[in-house]
Amino acid sequence: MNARKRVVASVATAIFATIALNTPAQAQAAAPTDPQIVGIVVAANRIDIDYAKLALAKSKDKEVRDFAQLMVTDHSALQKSVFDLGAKLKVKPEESDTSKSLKTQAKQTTKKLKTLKGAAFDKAYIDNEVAYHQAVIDAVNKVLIPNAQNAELKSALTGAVPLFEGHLEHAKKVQAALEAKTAS
Amino acid sequence: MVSTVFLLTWLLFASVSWAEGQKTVAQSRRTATTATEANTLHTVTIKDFKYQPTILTVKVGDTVEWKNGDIVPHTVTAADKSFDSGAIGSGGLWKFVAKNSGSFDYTCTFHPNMKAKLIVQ
Repeated sequence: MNARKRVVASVATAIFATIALNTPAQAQAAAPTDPQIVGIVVAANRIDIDYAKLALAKSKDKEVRDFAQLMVTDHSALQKSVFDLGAKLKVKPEESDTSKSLKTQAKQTTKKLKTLKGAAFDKAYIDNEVAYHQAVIDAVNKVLIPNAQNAELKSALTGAVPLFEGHLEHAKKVQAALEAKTAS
Repeated sequence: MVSTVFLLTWLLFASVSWAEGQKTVAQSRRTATTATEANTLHTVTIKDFKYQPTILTVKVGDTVEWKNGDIVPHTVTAADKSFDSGAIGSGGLWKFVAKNSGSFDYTCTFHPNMKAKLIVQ
């Protein structure tokens, strides 16, 4: 299993770990509540902002830095809208095993990223961003949207998917550019 | 004395009519300018990570404005780099006068999944 697949697997496991999808009974039992869904989105946003801040502190590659800056800008804007919506709907973000698991995984990834430098860091950061956004898209589509009870929350989650898809495509472009640089 | 008054009066009238004449010339020039530069304003709305309409056809000389209704910044960047808005912030606006005819695919450099086309005829 290569590094990228490992990241996908670990993030996906973190998100799906507490949400059993095998049987309807289990899914119902473990389905996240609206406050937990908001808590998961807040945690996921915070994690990506922190990865980006680390990249801005460590990377010298223009494309990587531009991407990281975009992550700070976009996820900060998204975070604000999540808090605004939460306040409007009177839904307070709540911790869950999923959000805790996401944070634990992020701590491990951050620890690893901090040991890397130069091109190795750039590659690991971007590979993780590709995997992370893919895992978040899957989780939002397969777990968060179907379980959201409040219509406005459901609609906001649906509206955020193109943002994550845009980031995923952008990350893949930077990933390809980094690979081209390594090859040349 | 009389001739001086007459001369001054004549000069006054002459200068006023000259000024009026100039105004008329200026006005007719303005009218002509307006007629040749008349253009239509088209609006593309950016909402939910989509340019709406996705395909817009305009005439050379028309103005196109892009309004960003999303919570994050976007760009309007031609694939051939013939135009590039730079970052348009949330709630922001960018205007562009279509000077050259052609079909221009454009995207958002921040979110490359956003794609649209401007056709200038």
